[in-house]
Amino acid sequence: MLSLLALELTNRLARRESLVVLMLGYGYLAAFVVAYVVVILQSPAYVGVVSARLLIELFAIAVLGYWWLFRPREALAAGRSWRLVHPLFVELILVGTAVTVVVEMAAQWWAVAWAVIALLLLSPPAERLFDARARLYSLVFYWVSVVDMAVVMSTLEVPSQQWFEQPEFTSLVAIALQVAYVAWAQRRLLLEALELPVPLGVLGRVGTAVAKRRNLYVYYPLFAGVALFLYWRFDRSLLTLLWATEAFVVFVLSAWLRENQFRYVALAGLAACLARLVLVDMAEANLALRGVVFIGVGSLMLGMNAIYNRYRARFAT
Amino acid sequence: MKAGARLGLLVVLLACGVALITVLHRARVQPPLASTFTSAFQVVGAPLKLVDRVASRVLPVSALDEKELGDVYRKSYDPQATPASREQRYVDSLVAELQPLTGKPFPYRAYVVDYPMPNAMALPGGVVLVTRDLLTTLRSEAELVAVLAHEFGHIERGHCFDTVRFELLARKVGAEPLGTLADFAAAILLRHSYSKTMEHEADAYAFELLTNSRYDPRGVGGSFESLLAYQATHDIPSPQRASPIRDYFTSHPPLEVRAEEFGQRAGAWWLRHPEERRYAGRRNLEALVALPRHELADEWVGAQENPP
Repeated sequence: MLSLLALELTNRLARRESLVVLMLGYGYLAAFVVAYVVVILQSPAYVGVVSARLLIELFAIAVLGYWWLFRPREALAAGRSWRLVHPLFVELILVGTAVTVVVEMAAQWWAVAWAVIALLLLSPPAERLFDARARLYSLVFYWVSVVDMAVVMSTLEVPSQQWFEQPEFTSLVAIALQVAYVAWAQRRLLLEALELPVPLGVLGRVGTAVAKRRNLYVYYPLFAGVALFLYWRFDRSLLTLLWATEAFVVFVLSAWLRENQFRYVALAGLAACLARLVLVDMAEANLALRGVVFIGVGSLMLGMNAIYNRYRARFAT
Repeated sequence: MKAGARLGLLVVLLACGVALITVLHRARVQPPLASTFTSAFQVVGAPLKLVDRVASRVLPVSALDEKELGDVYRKSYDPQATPASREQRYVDSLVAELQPLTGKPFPYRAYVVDYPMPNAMALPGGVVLVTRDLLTTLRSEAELVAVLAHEFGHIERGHCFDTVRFELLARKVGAEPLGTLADFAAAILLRHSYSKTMEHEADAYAFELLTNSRYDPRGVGGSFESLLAYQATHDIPSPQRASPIRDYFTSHPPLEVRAEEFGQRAGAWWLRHPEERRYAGRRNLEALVALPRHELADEWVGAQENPP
């Protein structure tokens, strides 16, 4: 709160004094960070059913947001300290948000939280509120969501009997959000020639690299992440059906995004599923399960055929 | 942003800040320690543990390999477990009660061992060791269940698996000592950076398990309070101020912090579930007869007995 008052005061003082008060504002923020790390972080300290720590964290993020939106007078804005520090408030807000998620949320919801943040950062309001960097950071949160889902959620055990707390359910939500992200990313994720503040210049090269090989960095991590998640999470007897379902979703995405490369990936995946069906499932699975897998894979193939016939023009382009 | 809108936002933020300060002041919110870096290391450890988990996933070993190693441990501890011992039968009953809430593909077994301190420890493959002193240090069955659930948490969240992954891999090619050495080296180099994260994960698992069981969730915070009382009576020092190096190398978060966090969380849980009745089992622990075998009506507690 004191940092807010100091910041507001800078627009009402002469340049020299305003610089001193600005430093005071930075000092208050630094003091808060130290207090948060060594004192506040220790305990949630509930007020009723609400965590006092969460309230403090949300308030701190709001204060950082105000600092980011604040526009000082020209004399102060041209100063070196403002030009160097102020652009980094976007990063501070995102780090604060990530820490809040890790501290306050249960592990089975992290992948969902990262995917939601990725989608929010990709939205036009986020770009207006922050700047083009939001797009690049949305990709980072999306990657973290995919890795979290594949590595953590695939083996996470939750001692709960509630269906909505089970990792299978939360992972399904995360996958749905990740698919929504990649579908939206085709139009929104423009990373060529990002204008970044001086201390973050290196991120521009990451953006350029991603823009050059978008499929490799945006779509294939999701395809691989979901395949690994299914492999590590579910029983081997169901894998063929689950992977075939993934191939079906990739096929639909290829029609949606008009990306022929994904169609070949989906067909290759489906061929691998058929090979597994014949070579592994026929030998290992029981009769009922074999029947279910055969009918399931057959239905998915029929669905793919129907989609291909219905949207042939999309595949042609 | 226009000046008017900005000033409006400032007023709203300041009002929220004043309201927050008032609420915190009235609730007399106090941190358990004057200062500590352990919570910060716990947060920083989360991404490091994620990287460590990637390493575990890419190795061609699974929970079934962990089960095989657990069988080896079980064979080694089974002769030490005296079936006639009341403590062992008591702990066996509690483990049987908790087993349905676990998800790993192996049976759990807890062994009561002699060691001159209250402690518990998890080994890969579902093996838990509980010292006899722990049974006399804790005050209720819910607290003992919380400790067992904490150790289950280390196994269920893969912490034990991560510490033996190279050994599991090496067992497949008959080079077990090399694998053990690799695990030891990895533990020396990395473990301190995320050990507090793992402890917090296991605490959170224990709390979640208790809320899904018949036991009072206050057992988690209560078990840490009992251990704090033990420390106080045995003059074991408990640092109250932060030290970056000590806080980094300590394997567990301070008991004060854990007692406060899970006491607070249990208080909030009782506020959200005012109609619930949960089992404390103070006399069950004294008599070493578990809830599944002997239910005492006055050991069921409600929100009234658990004021926030």
